[in-house]
Amino acid sequence: MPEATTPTSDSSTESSNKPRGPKYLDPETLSQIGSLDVVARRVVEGLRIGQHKSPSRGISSEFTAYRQYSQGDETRNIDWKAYARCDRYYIKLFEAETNFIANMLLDASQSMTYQSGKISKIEYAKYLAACLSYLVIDQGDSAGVGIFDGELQNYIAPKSHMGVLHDISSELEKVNPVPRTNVGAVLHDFAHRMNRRGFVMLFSDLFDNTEEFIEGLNHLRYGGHNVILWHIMDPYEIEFPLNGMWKFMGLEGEGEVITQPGRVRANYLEELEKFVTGIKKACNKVGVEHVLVNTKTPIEQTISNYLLQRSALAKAK
Amino acid sequence: MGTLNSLGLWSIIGALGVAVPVIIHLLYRKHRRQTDWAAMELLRKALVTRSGQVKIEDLIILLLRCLAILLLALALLRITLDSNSALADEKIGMVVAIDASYSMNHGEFSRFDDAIEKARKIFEDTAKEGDPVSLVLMSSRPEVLLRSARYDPATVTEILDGLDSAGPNSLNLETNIELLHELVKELKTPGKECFLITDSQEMDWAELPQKTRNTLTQLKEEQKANIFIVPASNAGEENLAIESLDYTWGSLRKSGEARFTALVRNTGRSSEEGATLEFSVDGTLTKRVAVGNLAAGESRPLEFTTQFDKSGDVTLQAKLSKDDLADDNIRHAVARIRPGIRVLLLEGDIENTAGNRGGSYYAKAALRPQDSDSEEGVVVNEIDPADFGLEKLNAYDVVIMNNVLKVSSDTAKRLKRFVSEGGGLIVFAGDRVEASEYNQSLGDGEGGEGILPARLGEIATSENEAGWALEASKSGHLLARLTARYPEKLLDAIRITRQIEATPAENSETLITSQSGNPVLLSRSTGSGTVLLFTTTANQRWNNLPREPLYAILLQQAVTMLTSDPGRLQLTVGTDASLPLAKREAGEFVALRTPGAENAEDVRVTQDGDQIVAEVSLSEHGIYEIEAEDDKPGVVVAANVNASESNVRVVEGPALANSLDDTGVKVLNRAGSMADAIQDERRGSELSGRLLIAAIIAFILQSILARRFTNRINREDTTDLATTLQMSQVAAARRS
Repeated sequence: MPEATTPTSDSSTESSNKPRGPKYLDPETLSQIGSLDVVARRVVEGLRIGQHKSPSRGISSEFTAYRQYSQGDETRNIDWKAYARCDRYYIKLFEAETNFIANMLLDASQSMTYQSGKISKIEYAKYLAACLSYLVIDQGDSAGVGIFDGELQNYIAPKSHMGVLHDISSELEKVNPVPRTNVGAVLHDFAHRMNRRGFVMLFSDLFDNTEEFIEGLNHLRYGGHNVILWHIMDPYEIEFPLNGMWKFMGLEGEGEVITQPGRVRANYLEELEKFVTGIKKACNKVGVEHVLVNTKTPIEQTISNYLLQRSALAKAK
Repeated sequence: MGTLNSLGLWSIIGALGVAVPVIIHLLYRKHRRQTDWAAMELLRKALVTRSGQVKIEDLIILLLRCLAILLLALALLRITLDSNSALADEKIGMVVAIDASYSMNHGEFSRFDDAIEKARKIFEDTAKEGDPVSLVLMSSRPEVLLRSARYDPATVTEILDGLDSAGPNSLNLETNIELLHELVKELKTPGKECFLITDSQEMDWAELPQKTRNTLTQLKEEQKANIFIVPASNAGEENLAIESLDYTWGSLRKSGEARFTALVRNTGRSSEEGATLEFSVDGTLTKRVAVGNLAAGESRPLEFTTQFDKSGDVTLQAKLSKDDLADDNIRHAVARIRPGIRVLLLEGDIENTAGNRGGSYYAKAALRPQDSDSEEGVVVNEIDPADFGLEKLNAYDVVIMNNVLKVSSDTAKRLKRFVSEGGGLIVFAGDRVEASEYNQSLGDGEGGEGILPARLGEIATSENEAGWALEASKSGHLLARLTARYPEKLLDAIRITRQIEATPAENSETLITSQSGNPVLLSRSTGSGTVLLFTTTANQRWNNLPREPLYAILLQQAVTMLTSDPGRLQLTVGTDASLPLAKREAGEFVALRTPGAENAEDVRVTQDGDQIVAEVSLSEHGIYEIEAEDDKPGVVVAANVNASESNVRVVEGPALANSLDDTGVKVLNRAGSMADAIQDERRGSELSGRLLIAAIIAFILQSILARRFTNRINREDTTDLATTLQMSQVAAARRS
């Protein structure tokens, strides 16, 4: 574990910079709790404490039927075209509220094992996947998980009962990272397998061939899936705060580099920004949501920020 | 240490110094830390962009580190770039010069005593047995006690023990520094040092002449010598001195009465009160006066009058009561009292009618106002110039030429011999004077005797009927002083209507001028005598001077001064005097009595040009007398210390160091650690200090650059890119 001249987490300093809200669990604390399903339950429940009941029915997209308007319904959901045709108020109902599937795809390559603190990128990704699965299943939808390195290894098909959460947790806990991942090929493979449209959540550090990866995303989108890319990065990868002389050993067999990080920090951060911006642009182009995640950020905060962002976007539409 | 200076060894030390940072750099690389890294591609891209700059930065830092180490090594090893340092273990030749001017006798434990102690310490602490040393007593008459002798502590101690006080001489710094240069040049050692132990008097050291500075710089740069000024301790700067004892006024003949003036000056830094001054004539106390309160730098003339009962040489002395410096508390003078003055008057004026009298009439009236034939007083013998050849000049004291037509070469030769042997000549101009003839025979032209004080020209006539008034020059000459003190109203009444234009000769002195700017009275010394030239007439043809009292005063004093000028009989200690002798032959011996000596010593008489002289070295203040023998007259002179040396004010060490800064001379102010200071200078510790500072600067600079180049970060510098991006996304969504 590399040492930095400054600590990577400082709850007192961080909390002073964060907006008011629920008290989040430190990722390092989560790692000490135990099985993933417990963690997921605790995290999601923790998220709900102090929140008002949301009128939102969760992550949904597909229309299914109408029902008659009753007092208390939001006027924005009234189908004005139906009103024009039959002179009655009808409310639009969506299929997702009743039948929603989400696939969690976890990158289990060696580069995901990097950790500057007590939690690696892959561990963080596991918690995030488990939490999101719980969230999806808890609202009555289906969640499944796929783990890939060079190719899609283990896959648990989406189901909507709570029992599947245990299977997902067990599968995630068994992950054994291997070098070199071809994310692009995996996405193509997965796009072929999926015969029903739904949500695909991809958890990866994306240190792979970007072009192939974009193609894979395209393929998924072409299949009508909503894709959310959880771009997992370690704080040291984002900040590069190392001083002194260091020898860097590539995790994917890229050899070694000896340098003084301080001397190349500015250039590294510049390259990083180019890298992240490139991916973000590519995602925007194909309609994929890109969420950059720093593993020092508490998981609840990551999810909360994401939901807040999504809710704001939905309202805007 | 000799081998240490070899180029090879220093090259090795330098290479080691430079190698140290390289070794540290390599060790640093070896002691790197290691980490796994996922974002290798990003890191590699960053490295490719920066590699060129990093190499240049590395090179700059490496060079600075090498420089810092090299400078540090040089500072610690006390090497110097200047070859006249780093002498700690070298063979060192040493010149120690002690200021032996009389100002060094100031104080109860005198400056000279302290100088001796310091010299002793310098030898004991820094000289090595066998090394060449020179020891000099600096004064107007420098004395080399040891000259490039092998240092033997016993010999040096013996010499220093024998020095109890400084002599009565002044300090001629320029001459002494040149002598030191010569002595340092004689040293054939790798290291050379020169120590000047002095009281650093203000008059000598405050504004060092450029020539002396140049010599010091040469000593430092050409001879590669370390030069040290060692200030002798200064217990105080209080002193009263008699600057002069001069004849002021009166008759220097038997039964005559004359006035003398002693000028007392406070040469110290604070006012003085309570001192007394005693006047003695021939050893007998005649008067005691209180000096009164004298502020620093102030001087006061104190007069006394004495009557002379007999003819012959009379010694006079003024003595101050005791103070911190005794040498300048006494002043001697000699007055040559004549039984009478015999004047030969050559009258050139032709018209001697009652209404238009010749110059001789007025001259005689002025010189013998009571028309007495007495032998005591002035006896004037008037003759026709044509009869000059018949007269024996040794029967006269003064010759007056009034409006004489011309002077033959024989006459000129006789006059020159007469003047050289102590006679006085007064020349009055007139309408008969052939200027060209005078210039040729008595002037400085070819074949001329060179005794005339000026080259004569045309006769100048005042355009104003009233004529030109007189103006005294600022000369200290007795006749000039008399004119200057003459009442202004009376002086203004004197008018010159005509005069011969005169161009002063090189060694003459103008005493009085007319308003036209033309000299009226000039003086020129030749041998033991003096020639006075009036460029106007002795009668009233060209002026109204004979009717005025000043005429008689001037002539009386001129004749007195020409026959007995006490000022000419006062000499300065530390010089060699050629005393002119009458009726002697070269090669014979005369008996000389010197101050303080019980017995007379024999001195050989020599020929000096046209003069017969006895060479006398004046090493003590007091009376020097060459004894008379039968009809051969003796000579008595007074020797006094150089009054300028009595200024006991000193330049303090720091000021002295400042004024000598550009010469490379070091002033050793730290009395307690003088030996350490010398050793420091030998080792070049000052340069070591500078090297050390330079090393620190190089080190700090490389640290700053290294920090800047390596871009060390702290918490405030870090940026959470993910947070930033996410928050910006949220903010953008909210805005929309």
